[in-house]
Amino acid sequence: MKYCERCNLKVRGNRERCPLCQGLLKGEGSENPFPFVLGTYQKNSLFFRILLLCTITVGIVSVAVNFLLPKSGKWSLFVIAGIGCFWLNLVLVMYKRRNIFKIFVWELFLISALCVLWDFATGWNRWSLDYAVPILCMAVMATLTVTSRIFGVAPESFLIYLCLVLLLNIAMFVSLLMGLVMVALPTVLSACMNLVLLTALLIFRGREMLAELHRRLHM
Amino acid sequence: MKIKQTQWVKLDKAARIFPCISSKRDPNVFRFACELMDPVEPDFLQKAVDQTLEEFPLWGSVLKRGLFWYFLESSSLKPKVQPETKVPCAPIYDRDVRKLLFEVTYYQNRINLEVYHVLTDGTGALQFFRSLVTCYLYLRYQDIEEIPNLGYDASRFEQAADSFQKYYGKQCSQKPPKAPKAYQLRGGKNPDNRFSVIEGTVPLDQMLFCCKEKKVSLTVMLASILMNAIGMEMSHKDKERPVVLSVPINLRHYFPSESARNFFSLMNVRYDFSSENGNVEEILGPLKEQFKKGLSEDEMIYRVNQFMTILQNPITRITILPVKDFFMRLGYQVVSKTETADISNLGPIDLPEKAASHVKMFDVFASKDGLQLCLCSFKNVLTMTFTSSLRNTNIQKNFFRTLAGMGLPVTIAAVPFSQEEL
Repeated sequence: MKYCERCNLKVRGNRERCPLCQGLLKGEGSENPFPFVLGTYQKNSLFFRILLLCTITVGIVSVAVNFLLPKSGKWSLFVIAGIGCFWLNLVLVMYKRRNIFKIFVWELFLISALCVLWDFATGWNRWSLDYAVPILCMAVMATLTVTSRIFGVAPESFLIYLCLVLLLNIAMFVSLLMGLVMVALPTVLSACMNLVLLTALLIFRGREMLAELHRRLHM
Repeated sequence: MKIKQTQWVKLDKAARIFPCISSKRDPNVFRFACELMDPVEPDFLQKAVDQTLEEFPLWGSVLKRGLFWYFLESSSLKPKVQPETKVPCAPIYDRDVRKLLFEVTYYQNRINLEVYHVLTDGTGALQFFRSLVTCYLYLRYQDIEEIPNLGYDASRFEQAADSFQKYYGKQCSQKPPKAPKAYQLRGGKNPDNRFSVIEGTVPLDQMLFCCKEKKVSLTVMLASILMNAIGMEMSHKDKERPVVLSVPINLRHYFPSESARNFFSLMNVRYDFSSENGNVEEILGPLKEQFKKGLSEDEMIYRVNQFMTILQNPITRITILPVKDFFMRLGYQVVSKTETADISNLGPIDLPEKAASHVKMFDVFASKDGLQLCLCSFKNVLTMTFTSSLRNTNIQKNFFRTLAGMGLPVTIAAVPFSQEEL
């Protein structure tokens, strides 16, 4: 075993220097008691840095071109907003990448909010509330139903995701009643689909669903 | 149609805080390691883990988030034994991935068990680990007639009991005074949220002999040496604040309980370097007094109640989880300002005689943002392991040099940070 004369103690392993005083060790080395493990560096950060640089460059160039061609309108603002939306979505996906179902549900909320904002900024033609949000809801519910079958997700988790989508559907329905939504069909369809799916869960898995709600809501 | 019955339990009162305060810096993961005479055989280890899990059904749980609290839900996930490829005490719980709250890994002669503190405390995990090691040795060598009863005969209900709930409500006469701010260790942190792990071993009999000479217990002795090691690094200005060591207490010693979950509490011992010069001899006396007082029945009852009064509060109960997370983290930051470092003694570990002959030593350590010393002993080997998030290892150096200065043969080992160190 190696020996540190300064600290007056034996050191296991094959290292050159004492881990306490960093002095050179004497004697024969032995097998290392712990493996060397590389830290959890951000391995793919280079890709994201390049992407960030590219998107920012596009933003700067479009502002510059827009500045040189003032008669073409303020279109560069939309380019910048688009880049912002792209990054918001990318960050969300990266953050929740280990759970594909959470990506679907979170993306539904994020994209819905962004659609409403874009609609508002481009003259409030109501396309977001009339079509985009309810169609997104239906798409996400369909995707969740199919993928949860494929990946064999416990129906309890599926219930929670459906309840979250239900929150959005309720908000949409309230907007419909308040007269914010002009075209009723997509919203009503989406609400129906949500209710049918929930009812199906309750009919086929009722006891498990109640138990799950009991667990999730215990105080 | 087959209806699957999902079992679930509420978190015990001490565990409730862990998911809220866990971070990359301190994921609240601790590790038990056992060094055998021969290299580990993964196949036998896998079988041993599977068998042990049957005895400890709660360990097959996953942690889930409710609207108000986290809870443990039974799962059919099977643990997979793997070679050690992660840094020690890396985060185990990931709220986006459904997985078990413990991991079993191996490296050469070592079996490692890493546990998320939500599942159980050190004593609870040690029951599991002893069973695991004994079972492995039984399968591997076949010279042990049968897997012996390890003196742990709790029923599954006793194992899963939340003992805080049971002993809540006993009246205690006084409330300890509010703790002042303690001296805080400062300095650069390790990159990548890694911990520097330095493990030291000394012969137990020689160490106990030193303790007997001074008429103190092993914990008091090592706590004094640690305090002194911290004191040596303090500037004159630093000494305005006391050094406070936080010591976890196994409440099973004071309240009858066979719980395999968390049942521990924390006690603080302090020493003020401003009024006294402080060397190990001088620190011993006051510390011995504080340990004696801190372990009195009154203080124990107070500690059990302490957890409960906050958690039973109606306002706490109806607060939704994200808000709770925030306030718990805030509260934890305030509390952590009242302590300098941790010292935790798991005590002697025993195995059945035949199994013990295949084992060299045990080791235990825990993640900590700051500095923590964990102790355990097996046969005649006392293992003292420091984990620290700080780059500077002078306190560890002072500590082990003090031991060496007492004439003890110290052997240390450290987890390497870079390839060059090897």
